[in-house]
Amino acid sequence: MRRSFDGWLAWLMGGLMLAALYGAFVYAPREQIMGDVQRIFYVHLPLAWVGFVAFGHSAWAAVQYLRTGRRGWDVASASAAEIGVLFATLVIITGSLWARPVWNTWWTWDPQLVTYLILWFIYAGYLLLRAAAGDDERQRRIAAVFAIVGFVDVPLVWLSARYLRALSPVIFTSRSIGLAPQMAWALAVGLAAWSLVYVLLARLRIRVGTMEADVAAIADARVDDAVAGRGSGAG
Amino acid sequence: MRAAAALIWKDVLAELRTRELVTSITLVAFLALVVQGLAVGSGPAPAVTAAILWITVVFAATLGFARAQALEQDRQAFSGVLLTPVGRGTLFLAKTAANLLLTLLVMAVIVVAETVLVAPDLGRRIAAVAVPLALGGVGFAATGTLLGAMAAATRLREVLLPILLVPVTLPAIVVSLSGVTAALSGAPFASVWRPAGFLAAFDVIVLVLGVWLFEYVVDE
Repeated sequence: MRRSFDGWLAWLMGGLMLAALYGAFVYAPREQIMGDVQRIFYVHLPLAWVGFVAFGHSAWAAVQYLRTGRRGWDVASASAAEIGVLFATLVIITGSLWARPVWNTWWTWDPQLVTYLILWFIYAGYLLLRAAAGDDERQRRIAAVFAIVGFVDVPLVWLSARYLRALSPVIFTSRSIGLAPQMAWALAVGLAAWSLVYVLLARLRIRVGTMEADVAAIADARVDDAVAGRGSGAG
Repeated sequence: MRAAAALIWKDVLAELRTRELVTSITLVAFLALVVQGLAVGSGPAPAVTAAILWITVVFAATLGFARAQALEQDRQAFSGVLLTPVGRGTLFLAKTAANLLLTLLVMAVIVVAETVLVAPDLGRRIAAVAVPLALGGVGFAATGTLLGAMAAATRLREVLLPILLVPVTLPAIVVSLSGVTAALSGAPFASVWRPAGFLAAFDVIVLVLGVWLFEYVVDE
């Protein structure tokens, strides 16, 4: 039943993704100043928004885990953060690809890019923390605390990036462009398609994470049984 | 309040007995400063002076936080602290205060050394520089206390601390840098105070988070 629902979601996502591609490459008009390069915007911006949502999802699940102690929330928090890092990586890559033809440089200390770079570091740190921590209750609590701290940091990172201009006023950049109605539609369909990608990936990752937790629990139980069995045999 | 004072005094006393931490951290800071001073020469631009100041502080203070936490882990000293009837919030504030003392001390040493070796302007404008620097230090010490306790509970320990601490405190570092740079360039008072507001807000947010979350990190 659940599998068929995911299958249905996957078909819907595929259809929307095709529509998003059509919207980005055909339906949306050519931008006057940047030309066709600007079309990467229909991928870049949805990725950035969905990335924020993923980090928010991770922090929310972390709060629920600290409140209830239920393993499922921990798995959800870790899964969301993992996918968030993937999206943040893509945001940085597409932003850099966009910057190259428009500003003639692969990287600028543009507030949006810097925000995403710092977020990437925070959540890459989170994944490292999870890898370095063992799998007991305290370690899961520690990971949850870091997911919350990281997300509270998001608006602070964004605000602080505004001070960067005062620090190095080398390149003044702005990506605000007036959106024609067709552009807004292409963007909206792109946003819907990438949101579905996130939902689908998160559902699959959470299912894998739950299975991993179950396998670990079974393995622990078997070790306990073996120890208990040997103990009684000796006694 | 008295419990917090006692906890802070414990850390200060332990340090006074050995003087291990302050001596080693100060030397590390000096070395880092000398390397950067050799690289940029005397009288660098305000932004470079500010950058050297913060790079050295981050480097030395992070090492200090990790070492202070390691001292607590040694022979399970921290378990004893956890057994005392003190709220985890109070415990967090006390550990933060101790780490802040260390940070401010390191900052003072670095400011003096940088003034003498690299940038004479730094000493001349110290009154204006001190505000964004110290406010940034509070947020850095508070975050370092929370994340230090987390990193110490993992396999990677000290290695993990800077990886977690630097990105999370980057907003405070960036804004403090902009305030220090403004102060060094003799900018009007307002452009030094604007970053100060952000830094104060950052400090309050981190302190509230720490008081709320510290128990989840330290309780076994």
